[in-house]
Amino acid sequence: MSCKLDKSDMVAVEAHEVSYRYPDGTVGVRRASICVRSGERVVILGPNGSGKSTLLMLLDGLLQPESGYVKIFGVRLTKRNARMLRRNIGYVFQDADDMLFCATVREDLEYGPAQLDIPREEALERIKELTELFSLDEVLEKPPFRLSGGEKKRAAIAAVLSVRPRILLVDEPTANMDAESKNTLISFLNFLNAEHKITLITTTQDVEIAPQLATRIYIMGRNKETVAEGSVKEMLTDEKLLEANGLEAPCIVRLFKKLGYKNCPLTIEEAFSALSK
Amino acid sequence: MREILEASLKEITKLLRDFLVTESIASQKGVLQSIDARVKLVSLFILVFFVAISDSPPISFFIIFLSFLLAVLSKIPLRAYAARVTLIPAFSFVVVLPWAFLTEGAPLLNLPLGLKITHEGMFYVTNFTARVFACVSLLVLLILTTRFSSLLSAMRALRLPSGFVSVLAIAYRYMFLFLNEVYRLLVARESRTFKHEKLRKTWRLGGETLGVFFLRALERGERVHLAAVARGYSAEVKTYTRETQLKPKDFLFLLLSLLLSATVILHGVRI
Ligand SMILES: Nc1ncnc2c1ncn2[C@@H]1O[C@H](COP(=O)(O)OP(=O)(O)OP(=O)(O)O)[C@@H](O)[C@H]1O
Ligand SMILES: [Mg+2]
Repeated sequence: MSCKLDKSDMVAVEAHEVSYRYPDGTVGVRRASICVRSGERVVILGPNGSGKSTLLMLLDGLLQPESGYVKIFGVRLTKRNARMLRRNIGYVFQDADDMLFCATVREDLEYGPAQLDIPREEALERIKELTELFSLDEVLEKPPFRLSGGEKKRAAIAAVLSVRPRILLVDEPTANMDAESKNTLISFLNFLNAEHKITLITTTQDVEIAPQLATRIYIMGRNKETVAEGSVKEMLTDEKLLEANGLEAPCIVRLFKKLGYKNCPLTIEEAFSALSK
Repeated sequence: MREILEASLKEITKLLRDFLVTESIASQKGVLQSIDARVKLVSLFILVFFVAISDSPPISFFIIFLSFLLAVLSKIPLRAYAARVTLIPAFSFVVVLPWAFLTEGAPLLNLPLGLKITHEGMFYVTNFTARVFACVSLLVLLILTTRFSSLLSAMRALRLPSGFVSVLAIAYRYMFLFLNEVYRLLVARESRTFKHEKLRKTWRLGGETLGVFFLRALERGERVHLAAVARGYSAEVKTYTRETQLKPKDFLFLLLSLLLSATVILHGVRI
């Protein structure tokens, strides 16, 4: 798979056949390619161990690919320019505990801006804004490990947003979250994308939330390759493709397939209007 | 025995971990919290130095008394403070206790088996323990009332070698991380332990736990490092300095502690 977007589109992130092998010999990803336009919302969908997290690390220049390359806004990522290019990218790790390593949540929010030499006044202004947006005021002075899972996730995302990235990589945004936190987080990510034009790349193995997070999906399979790419509808209604890669079509799709529908709905609303016809 | 071992391991880990992050006290409004970190660092370290070379239990007791007074004025819960300052002196007491018997001198108390506690020995033990107690009390005051980040900025402002400060910053972060990891491991293990095991088995399991812990800590350390890099970390950790002009009360504090140091030298240090 290669980048087949229009020339006119500004490409925010491009990975071309990147491969990575961990020091112990395990293959992390194998010839994975993705291409994301500026302002797009894309989900990388794949079962456990299919290399989603590894791919994100490669996109952020935290790991160097064995072969292939990554380009950020058209500039090829190398070891030397990674630090500079990374200013554009916010990366929320799968495990929020990895990201919150300061003594208090406030210090964690200050960490990014301080490393990038953003003036203190401006950083404080941003942090105030984010604290409100994420309802973090009550936990601001707490040590991160005393937070609940959902609070940790919110704090981790806020910590990343305090440097105002243009691209946001979120690894498993909704893992271990209750329904309400999940919905709040999803609408918040979508708000960032719509209002601040932040390019949103998320990973998940949850086919039910993928339609809410993206307009386009890349599927990664057990073999750790990007095996397919397409619109949410194309990808999530292709039962054969999903099953071949250790996934399953969303509930509604399976139901409507069974009912003999050709054009399967993806959301409850779509299903409702299809049924009331 | 097994429960005690396991439970105390867990408790100690938790205590140490929490000890490292008690910034809730540092963010309160008390006497010591309002003193500039640089001033606190300098004056308390001077004081600690002279107390450490002093040789007079009354002086040590006086310093301990002052420390507790300052703790109260700085809104440090006394129980928490006492718990933090007594551990190390208690340990050093146990270590030097034999000298009460071993030091030659006038007998204070005769015990069976020809053992005797001497005046000199007793003095040595009291003096040593009190001195450790006094030093620890002062240092704990500094740690509890100062944010770690302010402490680091203060060290930088005082031109301490930046390598040293960076190492300290990293050590602090990893220590916390490691302790957190041990704690989670112990809790996880406890939740899956259903029957009483023999002590020997507990020890063996303990060894395995330790091994697993090191692997996990390494793994996590690696990922945390990557997370820090993702957020712009390079060779040096930068923090926002809350640097401000020194206020009159900072100078007053410095003056008072210098006077106190002079008192310690005059009355306590044998030259
Ligand atoms: N630090 C590591 N050392 C060695 N192998 C690793 C390491 N991290 C991941 N792997 C291996 O690399 C492969 C891809 O892992 P990765 O974490 O990228 O998958 P993932 O799609 O994010 O999975 P999940 O959905 O469980 O998060 C797996 O086979 C995994 O075992
Ligand atoms: Mg993952």
